[in-house]
Amino acid sequence: MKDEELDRILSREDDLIPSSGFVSSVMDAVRRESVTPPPISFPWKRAIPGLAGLIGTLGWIVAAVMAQSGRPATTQAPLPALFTTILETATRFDAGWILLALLLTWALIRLSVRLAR
Amino acid sequence: MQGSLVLREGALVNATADESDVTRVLAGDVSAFEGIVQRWQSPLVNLAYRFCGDRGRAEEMAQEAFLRAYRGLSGWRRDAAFSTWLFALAANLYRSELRRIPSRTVPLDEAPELRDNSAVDASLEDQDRDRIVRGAVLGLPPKYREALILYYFCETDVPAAARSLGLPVGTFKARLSRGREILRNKLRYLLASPRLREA
Repeated sequence: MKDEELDRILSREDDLIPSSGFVSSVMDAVRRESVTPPPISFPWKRAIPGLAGLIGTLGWIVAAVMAQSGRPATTQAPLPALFTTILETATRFDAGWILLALLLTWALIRLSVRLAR
Repeated sequence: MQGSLVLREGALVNATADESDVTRVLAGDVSAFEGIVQRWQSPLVNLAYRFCGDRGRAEEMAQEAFLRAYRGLSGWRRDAAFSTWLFALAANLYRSELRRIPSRTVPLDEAPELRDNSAVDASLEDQDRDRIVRGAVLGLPPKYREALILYYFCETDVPAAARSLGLPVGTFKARLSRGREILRNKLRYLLASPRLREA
């Protein structure tokens, strides 16, 4: 089939006539929308200190792990030894609880953002 | 020539009316939105129909497009025509709606209400072929299908169609060309099937 023939068929597609109640149905929805209060936007200004705290805590954990290992973490470090150090540090600082709290905070922030949209 | 002049004058009248209605809506007069719906209901429903091939769903999608337009009316910056902004918003919504719930195959007996009576006089074979061609467009991969639909909906105005999809003209032309190529290959088999020959 040639382009001209395709053009001819697809250009003369029949027009649908919207049903008679379409305009009133749209306007009903618009009026409902106009009386609904707008969604509350996420309070980023208030969340920023919390987020800064979250990032700071993560940085502190990483720094503590590095200090415990006694040398900067490099890609050449043998993996099992590195894991052992991380585990020891994590146990000493109750990092499991800290991690759980951070994850919970993160999940709550995500949920709030989703609800605010 | 005279026809295009009338069309341009009509577009100008629409543009003025759109601008005035938008200003009134933004000032708090919700009822002014009805003018916008009256003027653009047919293009928006038809564009949705070309995307999904289902009358009921087309009206639902067009209603949602109007609602989104109402919500985002203050986002129209007036540097482009209101219709361009509205079509871009609608096309974007229809694309995401169809990606969320793909269109179903259109039953052959579910023909839309016709406005153009000359189409009724067309031969049965031509009608079948046309229906197969349109069905094949709906079966194209989304990015090519969208390009083809917008191209013909915007009366082969490439820049307008590209704007509605938010694509650079070059990218749009490439998709159009590839879409036509896939369509032609598809139709080579579909139109040669014994079923159509029997019809």
